[in-house]
Amino acid sequence: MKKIFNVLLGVVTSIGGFVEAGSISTAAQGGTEFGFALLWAIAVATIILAMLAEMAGRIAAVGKRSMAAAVRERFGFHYQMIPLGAELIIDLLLLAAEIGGVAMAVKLLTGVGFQWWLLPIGLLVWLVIWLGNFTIIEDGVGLLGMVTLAFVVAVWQLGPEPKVVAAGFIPSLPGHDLTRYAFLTVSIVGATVSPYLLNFYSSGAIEEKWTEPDLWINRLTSYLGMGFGSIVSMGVLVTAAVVLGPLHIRVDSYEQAALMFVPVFGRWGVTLFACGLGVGCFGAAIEITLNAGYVLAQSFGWTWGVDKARRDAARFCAAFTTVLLLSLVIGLLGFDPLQMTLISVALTVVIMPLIVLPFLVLMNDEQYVKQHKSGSIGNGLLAALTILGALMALVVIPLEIFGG
Amino acid sequence: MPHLLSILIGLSHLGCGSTQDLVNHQQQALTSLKATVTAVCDGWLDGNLSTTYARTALEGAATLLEKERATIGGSPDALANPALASLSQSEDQLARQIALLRKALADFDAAAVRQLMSAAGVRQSQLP
Repeated sequence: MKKIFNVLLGVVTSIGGFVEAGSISTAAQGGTEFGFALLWAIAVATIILAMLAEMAGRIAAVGKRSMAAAVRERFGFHYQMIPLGAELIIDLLLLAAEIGGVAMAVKLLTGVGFQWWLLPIGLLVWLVIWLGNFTIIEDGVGLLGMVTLAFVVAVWQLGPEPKVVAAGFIPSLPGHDLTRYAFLTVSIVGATVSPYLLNFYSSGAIEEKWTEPDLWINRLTSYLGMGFGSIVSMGVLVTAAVVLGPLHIRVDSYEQAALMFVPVFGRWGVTLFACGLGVGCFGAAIEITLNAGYVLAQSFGWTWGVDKARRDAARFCAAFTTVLLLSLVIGLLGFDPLQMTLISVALTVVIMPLIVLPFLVLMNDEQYVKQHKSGSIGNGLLAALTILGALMALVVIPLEIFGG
Repeated sequence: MPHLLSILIGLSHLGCGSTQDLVNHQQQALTSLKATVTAVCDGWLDGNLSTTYARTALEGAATLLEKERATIGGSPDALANPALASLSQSEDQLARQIALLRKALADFDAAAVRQLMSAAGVRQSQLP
């Protein structure tokens, strides 16, 4: 009974923790500019994320290693420095964007410039990690994130034609702005398949002491949780398409995005949007900060764990604190949070092959997954994903320049 | 190597973009910002949007508009193009309208907001 409760909690928190700055901004832009035509991109990206998360969870439950630790052990310390460096850069930018997202949410409610909120929010993120344990952090943030279900309620209230929405799940080429369409497609994938999510997921599995008998929990949490979570992301796209699209309002700022809730929730619209944005970004900021500590500690072989006494994991604590401080410095330089989000999402795609390739090896190594190796379908999908990731990494920067 | 060079040259041409691309981009941006201003003011007049949010949103629109104006201003020959010159004028008008609307909002002057909106010739209640 307790395990079923844990699975349900895991699925619910996955839903609440799915939406953050990257998914809100890319889905809203996609919806306003191309209607429902990019729904398929969210669906495909979610399948990729769920597949990789399930594999990362399998390595953690069976091999008792997080992704970063497994890659370091299997490929060597020198190789690990490459994905580590890339992931840290992305984590820094994404963290600055997420904290900026929370600050923008507060700005929507108070009217006070977002820069003023960066330091207090950074301090709050640090305090939650410092004072909390893994269960409180994961479940608390996930449950609060249920406010993002407002995007699904909005779609329900707006009642778009189901057939027209369903057509968005079939990939098609747009009649205009092909480069922009391609850029948004790749950005949606980058926003969904964030590297930090994978290592955070596997580290969480170790923090929660998953074992082989827990593999079914892993499968359900990754596929159901992320599957349902993606519905929220799709809710953002559909709401933006129905409300803002016909008005020709493009989402170039969070202030514009907030208008999508007004026809549905009236005077509560902006408040609900700000809560969804704020809570989603705050949850992501905590996860990225923690992940930066995890990935550094696991790469250098330090003691790590948010459930450990702080003095026993001093270098882990110093690592996540340093990354948080650096991201605050980036945020304080005054970049627009939405632009920062889009840039970091594009860069995420650049490093995707570095993240995906190790799965292909680890999922076929009995040392890490014992008899739970990937089958021919899993290996085929991983190989295809590696090639797709490499192709997207090649085109994303030109697309950012010409379509971003 | 020559192939790579020609691809790079092709991409750089794309990057420079034609004047028509700039016109299209400016047109889209202007339409979006006008619609944003309308939606914000309508929402405020209907009581659905707080003054705090409305002022924040107009400030955001003004910042975005400033970037678009700088794009035209940064291209010395752009104003020689009639379409861009016309768009530039419209952007200037919108910038002034936003400034006046922000002042009216700060004074909680609904009549002035209504007057400014009708003077700009925008329909109300465009949100579905």
